Amino acid sequence: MYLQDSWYVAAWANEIADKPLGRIILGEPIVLLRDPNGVPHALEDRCCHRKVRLSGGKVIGDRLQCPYHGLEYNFDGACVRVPGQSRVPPAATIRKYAVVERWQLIWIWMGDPDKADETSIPNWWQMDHPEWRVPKGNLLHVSCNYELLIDNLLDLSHVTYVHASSIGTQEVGDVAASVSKISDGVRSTRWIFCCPPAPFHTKVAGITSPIDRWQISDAVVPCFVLLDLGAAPAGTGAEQGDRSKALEFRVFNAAVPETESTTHYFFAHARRFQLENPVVDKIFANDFVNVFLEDKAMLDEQQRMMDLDPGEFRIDINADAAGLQFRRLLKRRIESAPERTSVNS
Amino acid sequence: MKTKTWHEVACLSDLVPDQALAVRIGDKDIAIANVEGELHAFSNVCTHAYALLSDGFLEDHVIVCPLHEAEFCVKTGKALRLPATIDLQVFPVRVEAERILVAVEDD
Repeated sequence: MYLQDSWYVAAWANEIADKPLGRIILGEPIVLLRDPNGVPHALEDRCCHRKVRLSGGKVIGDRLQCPYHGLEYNFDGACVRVPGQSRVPPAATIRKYAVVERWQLIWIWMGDPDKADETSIPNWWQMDHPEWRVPKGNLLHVSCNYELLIDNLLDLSHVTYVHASSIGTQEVGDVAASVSKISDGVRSTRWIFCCPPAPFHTKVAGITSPIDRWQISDAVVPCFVLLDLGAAPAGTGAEQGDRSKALEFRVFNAAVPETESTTHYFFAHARRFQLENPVVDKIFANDFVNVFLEDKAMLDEQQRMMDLDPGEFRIDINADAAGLQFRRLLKRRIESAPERTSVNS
Repeated sequence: MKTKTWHEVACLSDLVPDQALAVRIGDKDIAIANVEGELHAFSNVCTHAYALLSDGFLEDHVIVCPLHEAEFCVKTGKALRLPATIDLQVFPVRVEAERILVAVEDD
């Protein structure tokens, strides 16, 4: 069960060019394409005739052609040509989804397109702002249920253990985070004062003296997590709001469900320091991707282990508070959503 | 009957709205909540799965455990909502010149 009436990330904008792209989102096959004006569209990726994937076909002008028997659809989802006959059955239609291109991403509304509300797309303005640098957009396919990935992003104590060679130091796991409610979500906050820099801080900015460090993780339903991360020389007032001497960046994350046990993990780093430095670009594009691959390895294994031993987790620890609260919030939203009519109606 | 001793644990200015304050006396974890100006002291450890209630939300006279949403009355310690079934211990609390004192039995 998913939250249907919501935006999800479908693709990076630069993944969709002249060929259609097929992707499964919330268990539904979706085909993404651009029309001759470059406007993105999304349709059900399933021919209404014999169910094969339309994403294996071609975009011809303002039509999408099925690769099996050549049926052609317009971008509202209506079949407009059936090879070998002049009449098209009126019921030959496939589902259309509302999409918006914003923040370098293609966003898709998984509910009724008439209810799509653009104002509820997350405000990831740093992805498209001259004072911030976003070197690269990333997509990892992770073999885990999306809620496990959100747990991972809300409880950053794992950084000490999973990412010891890059961003982890002992203090991160030892210092408890505090949890608070935010609009449509949950926030986890951790401040660590006067601690040694992590290998990453030294590599990126040459920091060797003690730092004050913060991790603020905002998870918003259904699957968006914004990380506000940074470090400042110890005692320079970062906690009080002075980030003028700080090295700070954001990580934007969308844990988009593919199926109940697999996730499309979209993420990107935006930083506010050394914007013109290609070496720092490379560190964020490479080193950080390695960090996320460490998470993927752990999450893939976690899902495998859970599949062997299904059922609730037996033990919860204090650090799980944020993740548990988010799961309850998401569950309530899903349960209180109106009944959905069948996809085929 | 064991004797009790008053311990100074915090200042009034340490209290923040919507949250209970965590203090320790010996090996006891105790939480202090301000309900409309009246202070209450209770065990800070949820009787269900041992999370710290001071990490949770204080809503009027009810403390909500951050892990599984068990609820307790901060005035009486009574378990109000599953999964908690066992009440919290409560402690006498008073204020003297802006300082908060809690009484516990001597070990």
